[in-house]
Amino acid sequence: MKLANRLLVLLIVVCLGLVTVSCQCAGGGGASVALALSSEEVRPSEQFEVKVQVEPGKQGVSAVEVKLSFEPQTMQVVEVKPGALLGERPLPGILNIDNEAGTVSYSLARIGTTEVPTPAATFAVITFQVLNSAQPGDYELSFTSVGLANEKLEDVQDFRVKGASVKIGY
Amino acid sequence: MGNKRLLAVFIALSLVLGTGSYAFGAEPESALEVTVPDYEVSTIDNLDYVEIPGGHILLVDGKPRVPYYSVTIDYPKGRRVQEVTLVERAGLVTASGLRLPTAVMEPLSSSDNGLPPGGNEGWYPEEDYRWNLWDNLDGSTTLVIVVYPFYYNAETTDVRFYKDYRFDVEYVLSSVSVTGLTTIKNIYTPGDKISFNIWLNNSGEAQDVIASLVIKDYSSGEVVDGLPLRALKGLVGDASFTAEWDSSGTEPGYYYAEITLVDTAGNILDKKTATLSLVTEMVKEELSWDINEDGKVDYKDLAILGAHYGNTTEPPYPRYDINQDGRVDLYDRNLLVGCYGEVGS
Repeated sequence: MKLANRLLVLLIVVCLGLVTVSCQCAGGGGASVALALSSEEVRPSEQFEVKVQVEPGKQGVSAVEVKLSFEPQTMQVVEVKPGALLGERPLPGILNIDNEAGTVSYSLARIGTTEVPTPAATFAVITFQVLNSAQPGDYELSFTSVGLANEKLEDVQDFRVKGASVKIGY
Repeated sequence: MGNKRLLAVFIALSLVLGTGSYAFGAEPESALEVTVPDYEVSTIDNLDYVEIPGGHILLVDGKPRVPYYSVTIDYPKGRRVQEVTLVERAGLVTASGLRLPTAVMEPLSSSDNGLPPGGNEGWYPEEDYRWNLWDNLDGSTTLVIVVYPFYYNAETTDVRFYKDYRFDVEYVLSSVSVTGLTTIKNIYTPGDKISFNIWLNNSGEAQDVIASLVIKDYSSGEVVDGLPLRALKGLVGDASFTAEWDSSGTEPGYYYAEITLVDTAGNILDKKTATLSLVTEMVKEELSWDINEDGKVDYKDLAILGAHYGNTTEPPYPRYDINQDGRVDLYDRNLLVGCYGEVGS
């Protein structure tokens, strides 16, 4: 390969690298929303908790709305409690639990001003009951939608979401 | 907005903005002593403006502009104030020769020549005190006692001022609570049959409870309709029932449903309210709880409400004071949540 061509390839590689880095740093500033299970393997009739953890990155978080889907033939939501992310006494929004469709929607907002960046914390704790009739296997708990409002009370544009999988065993 | 509505808003604001605050430990006191700070007078254009440090001004259109004082006391969940009685009033101070201005709620016209002195027959105000109970989100309550320590006679320019008050606060311990009062929507059209879902809990021993549900006008608090009483014998643990209100014949406006639980002795065990609006179809299209006007009622609107929650507002009211009553509170939250998820044009 000629020197000119090598330089051109090198330039393209460097440019692609820069674009990748800039994409990762833009928008949500490294924000993420993830599910964390209290126990990765549970048995029928047992309960387990799922924490909705929010890493705000460099931003403030003034409100959160999550919609989760689960397998209603296997588990049911029994309780949803606020975490510490939005303060001790957040303003309650919606709490819609549909144990027939297998969905749960929950939203809260902070009362007062929002600290920037907001420390990473748990937004909500969802308690599931595994049904007696549950069949063994791995079951997905996934986000169907997530909304974060920043300290300017506007959408956080880019953030990562990560669901979880619970193993039902005997 | 009419004077009555302004007065109602003012009183509501005043009750919320309590001047003194009492926080009790494990067991709230049943006797409460209030010492009102000495009043202060400043004279402007031959009119005497009287204030109580940390107090408020009673502004009733056409009445003398007199100061008053209020205190708030927080009661934890499970304790419900039944009655507040003035037991003793002392520390009388009298004065004469003050010319108090008249409260004017409407803007003065160009022909008005300043504020006239208060014109009123006899002593004003006529009330000695009033009290109200606010239900908080966490099930606790806040007792607000408003005292009127400063009395003025516009005819004689005499003043009577009481400095020391002692109240007896009667409250009951209650294991019974209303855990939910909801409607499917917050906005209805007159003539709609509105269903209320009511959830109750008694964490103590089985108890006979009577539930009453009334519909009240949001501004005046007057009862506009009542539903039949519901007797719940031996209530223990969780319970729920539904009630339906036929809104036919009710004028469009803001209302709230209020459920009250009482025991067989008539003690109020718990209360809960839920706001609802009756609007004509034409108005309905114009209403919007979409605070940020992005076409959807969602968590961003909730975030805006949360950022201003507990604040007072003044006309022209901002959009986040959804019911435009001068306070960003639970009623606004309920209106927003009632329309949560709606997508507008």
